[in-house]
Amino acid sequence: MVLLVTSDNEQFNADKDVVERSVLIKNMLEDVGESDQPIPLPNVSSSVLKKVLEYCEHHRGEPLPSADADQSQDETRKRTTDISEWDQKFITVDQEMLFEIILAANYLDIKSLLDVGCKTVANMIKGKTPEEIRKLFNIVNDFTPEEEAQIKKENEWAEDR
Amino acid sequence: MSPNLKLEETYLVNLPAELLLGILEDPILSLDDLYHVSLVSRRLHTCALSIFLSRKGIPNPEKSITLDRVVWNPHFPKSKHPRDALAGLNIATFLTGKRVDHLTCYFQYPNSGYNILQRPDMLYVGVERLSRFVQRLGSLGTVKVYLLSERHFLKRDKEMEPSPIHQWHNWANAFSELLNLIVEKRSTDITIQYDGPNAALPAVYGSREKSTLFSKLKEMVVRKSAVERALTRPGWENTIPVNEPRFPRLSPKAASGRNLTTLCVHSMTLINTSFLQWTLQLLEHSPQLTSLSFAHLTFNSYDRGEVILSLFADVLWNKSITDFTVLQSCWSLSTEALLKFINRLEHLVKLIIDRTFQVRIKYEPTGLLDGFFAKDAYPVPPLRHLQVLEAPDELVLHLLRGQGRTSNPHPLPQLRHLLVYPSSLLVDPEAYRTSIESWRHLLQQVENPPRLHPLSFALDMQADFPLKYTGVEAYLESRIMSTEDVDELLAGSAFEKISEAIFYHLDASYAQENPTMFCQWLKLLFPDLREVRFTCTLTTLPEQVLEMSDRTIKALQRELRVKCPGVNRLMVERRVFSKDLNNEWT
Repeated sequence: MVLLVTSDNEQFNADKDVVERSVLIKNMLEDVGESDQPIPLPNVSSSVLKKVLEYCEHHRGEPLPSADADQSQDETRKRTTDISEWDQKFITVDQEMLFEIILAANYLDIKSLLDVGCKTVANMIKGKTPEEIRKLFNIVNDFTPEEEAQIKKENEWAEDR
Repeated sequence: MSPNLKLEETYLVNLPAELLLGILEDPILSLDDLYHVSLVSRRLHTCALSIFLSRKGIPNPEKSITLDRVVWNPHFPKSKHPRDALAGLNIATFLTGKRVDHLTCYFQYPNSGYNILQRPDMLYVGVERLSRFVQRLGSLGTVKVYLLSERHFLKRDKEMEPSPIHQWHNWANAFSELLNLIVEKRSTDITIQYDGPNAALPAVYGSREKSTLFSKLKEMVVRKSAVERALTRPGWENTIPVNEPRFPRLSPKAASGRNLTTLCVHSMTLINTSFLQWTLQLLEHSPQLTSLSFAHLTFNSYDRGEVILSLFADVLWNKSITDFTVLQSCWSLSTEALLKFINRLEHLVKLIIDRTFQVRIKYEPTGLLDGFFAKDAYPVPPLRHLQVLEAPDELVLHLLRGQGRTSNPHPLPQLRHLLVYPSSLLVDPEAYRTSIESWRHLLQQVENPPRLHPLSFALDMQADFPLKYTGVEAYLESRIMSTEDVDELLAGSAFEKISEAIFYHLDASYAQENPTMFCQWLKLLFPDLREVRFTCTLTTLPEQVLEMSDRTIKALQRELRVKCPGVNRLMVERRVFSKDLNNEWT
């Protein structure tokens, strides 16, 4: 068992083969060797780590992407991987949690979880107009009036045909 | 949804760049999606548009931009023309004020079938779109603009009803604005290739008016500093009736730029009556111009070609043109006019006349003892500084002939490299003999008297190969390779002293393009060969590369090593292979 400590000082016990889906934790364990020392995760809160461990638990035993997987393999994986039914259900969370999971997956270096998160956001963007995207992600239009005018000129031509 | 709205604002746009790119690079997002994302906010704009442009083959727009299809017809259904790369560039705020090193735009990509359904008279809309992009840039390096390349398209255009005057205005205004902007952005190297739409002049212009106008223009330019005066004191156009259109002119800002070093006039559009004034003004205001190139020029008559060349020579009189090139398809340029023009380029260091140029020199006997000398109409330019000459053999001979060796005993004294296009195709034994004879004659002329500098010789056979010409195949198979009288057949029949042979392409997967046969042929005809080059591209269309397979290259290297041991360099497109000390190709 491995002891993990979150940013809000909560402790989680998890099986080694579960937490080793995180390349970061796997490397840390290799560095410290056999030890009961807790592993601090200052960038992950307890609510997020709970979700991450749920993901790792479900995918326990699945082959990990090889450490030296080159970029082309990475691209192929991105292109071909559809989100499984379980993953879809798992990632159906509010936006705050979704982005926290993406950040945590990136920090913990869990490629498959990161892909699920990114793909989910890409799916949310797909087919939407700029205004719809702004509304969905609560983004402020911060173009200067000059930039706005430049964009409008070309955009009118491109859109209104 | 989280109750903490403040946090939410930070989610997507405040993700680290690599995560934001990870999301936007997902192939599930189409080009339209990326375009829409780029309109959301400044941060998303930069990320999404970078991916959009990368997918359009423009990963580094500041270094190089190639637009291989541009939508110009606003009435064309959007569904049939997906958003083009220019749409992305035109909203890319991060390129405002930046320099672009290489900009290439094909309004109609050659042989692609793209854009053949758009209306030629609407081309000005595409030109205006490109201008909007160029206008925002800080500066430009090399610019290549390819107009309408499809012959059938142009033919159809010509068959259409004569353009109303406003169409001429649309085209002339849009294209001159683009040209001026390119010069204003301090571009050093400009190529305009293929013709614009058939809007050269509206139907109100009869041929008589056109020729009157043309001669007025000529009078103005031939007079010294006429162009300068025309710029500062609008005089000559007052002689044109008011109802006639004003011709495009070099903008004052462009005239003060003075950065141009290379101009490739590969389009009649630059020298038809509408734009001739602009082009001449550009030449006049380009003190740093050193390189000039012509291609795709089709004049109505030899006379018109000669007048145009003399106008060019007039404005170039005080420039140091060191490189002059005539590339493909200058069908109606006369040899006489060309020689007169070259005669006035006294600083030339490099002269290239493509093999497609039809050399026609008629020599007339001037007296029983004089032999055959050219008429005065065919001057022999002295070319005292010329170091590199690439030309059809007839023209090389003419330049070497000297107008009487007594006055010029050392023609082309600085020549170091001579590349010749053979006068007859090398497709059968008889043609070899003819070509070899003329080569020998030429060699005698070059080497007698001895040269001041060592000279390298190359033969360009791009038009004669691949070997699928049955003549070569039959000859090699039946008459040379399988008979014992090879030596006798070829006794003294070789292109001696040629150290470099240039071909277009070879493909070992075709039986007719067998590398063994090819190298046997090289061995027999080129005993002094050191270098073999395959260009894989056409000079005027360098973007289209016909690749050679590794299998072909390996087979070539093997055969060259055995049959042509003197060859120690093989170039295939941009790849260079040399033999090392162990006789291995690297």
